[in-house]
Amino acid sequence: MKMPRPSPELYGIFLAAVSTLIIPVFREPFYMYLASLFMIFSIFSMSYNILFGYAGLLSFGHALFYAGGAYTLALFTLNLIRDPLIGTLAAGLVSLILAMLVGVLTLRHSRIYFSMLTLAFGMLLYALLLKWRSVTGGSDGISGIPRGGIIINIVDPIARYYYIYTFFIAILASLYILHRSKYGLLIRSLGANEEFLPFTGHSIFKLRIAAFLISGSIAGIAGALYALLMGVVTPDLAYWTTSAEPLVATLVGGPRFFAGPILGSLIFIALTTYAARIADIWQLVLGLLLIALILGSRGGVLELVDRIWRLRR
Amino acid sequence: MEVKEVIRVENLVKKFGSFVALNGVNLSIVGDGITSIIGPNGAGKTTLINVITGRLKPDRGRILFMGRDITGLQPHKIVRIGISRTFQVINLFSGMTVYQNVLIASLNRGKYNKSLVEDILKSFRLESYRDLEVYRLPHGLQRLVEIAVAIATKPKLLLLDEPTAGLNPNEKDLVVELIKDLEKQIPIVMVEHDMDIVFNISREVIVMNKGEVIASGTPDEIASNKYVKEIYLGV
Repeated sequence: MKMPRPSPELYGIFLAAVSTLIIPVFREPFYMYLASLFMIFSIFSMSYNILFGYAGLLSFGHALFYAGGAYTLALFTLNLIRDPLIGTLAAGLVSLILAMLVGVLTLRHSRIYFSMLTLAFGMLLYALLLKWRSVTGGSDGISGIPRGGIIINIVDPIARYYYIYTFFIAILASLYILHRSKYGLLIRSLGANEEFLPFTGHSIFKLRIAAFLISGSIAGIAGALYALLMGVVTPDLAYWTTSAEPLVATLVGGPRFFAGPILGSLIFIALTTYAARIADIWQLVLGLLLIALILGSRGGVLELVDRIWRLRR
Repeated sequence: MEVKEVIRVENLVKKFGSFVALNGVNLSIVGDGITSIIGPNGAGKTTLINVITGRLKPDRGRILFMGRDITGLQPHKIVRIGISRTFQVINLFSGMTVYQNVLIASLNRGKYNKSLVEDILKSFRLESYRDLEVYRLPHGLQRLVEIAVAIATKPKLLLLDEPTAGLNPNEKDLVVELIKDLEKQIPIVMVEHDMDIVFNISREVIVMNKGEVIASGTPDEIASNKYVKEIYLGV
């Protein structure tokens, strides 16, 4: 039987999985830190792309779930059960509940109204984190997040790295299965032509809620992993610019592609790290890249790669 | 044998501001075959289809489908009850493949029915285009895909809004042949401007003007209706 030729996307995903697997071999803490950031940001951006690239929902409040997850992990591990794994799962659950609440209130609205409502909810959490000092620590945030616990211990940086890696691979695989599944196709049909969708017998609201729940809970896990990596959480995690970051990464990588947010995250992390090292010009470089992509290839870098790939065939 | 009433519309009113698009429409479609709705532009034909299928909510009146009140229900619920439709301007998931379009529609009852999708692609002669994105297809084939998608929802009534609009003569023939085939399986209500097609394939013709039904009957009865000739055919 002739096997279908793998797409360049799959090669890219495989490359990302293998290269992040072997990074600790080099025993270079900075590379491990960068790779951890890349994995967490990829999870965050992939979760965002379920809304943006699949369901066609432009959310400006995705940081709500990210910060929600990060703070849940911090508060949970410090006050309830001292364990990173239980804390991470609790973060996913709390973000799922947050997504349900926010989703019910926002998802019946379309386009700019939805975007503005998500922005408002995100900023509401930001204000809460800033002002409810007795619980959240205000602008100082919460530090001293425990990395050792009753089930797992990730005090060692390599153990911590592979903890993040495990979630990265598990979420990558789960979302790829979703992407290829019939349910994933239905969620993508929202973005393809939402007005037509009801005339195929599907409820827009139910599919939007499903996308929102999946997306919100995964963003919560990303936030928890970030809290474990940094050991500290601050309110700026909920600020609207945090919501814009996965949007930018997705636009750069290619929202139409499964691997788009992953590639976009790599470019984003590289730019914010290396361009900032040369001078504080990463925003300028990122801005120019965005303008070039939006004017030249709206589908992002992967759209360009796809075009070249098709020409080759 | 008792002939069932497929759809009944009672005193349906739809206004857009001060413009009355449907002004107390009453109609009843009984039995199988093709029922064509004709009328000049602005007569309210597409508005009627939009109200029946839940795209627009009526200001007044009632729609009964096989005895069940479906007035004001959401479009996806109406599809699940058994009414499917196509649009004047082709409406599909154009960036997705032909197969994916049909598959999405077939999933509306939750279960994946592979043989249904394959059978539809085969009967619509779309197998060789299955992996092509819809926007890459010529207009006539896109129209076939649109009808195929409607059929994949397993409807009990099919509403076609100007199915031959924008098609060349060959494409028109293709679509008309398909509609004649479908008519054997399912009642069809069709809004159409091509009078040759209407009078050749319809069992019943309903004439609308200024938001009202002004006549209904067999093609022969309508063709000889003096009032229709005056108002619509201009003779």
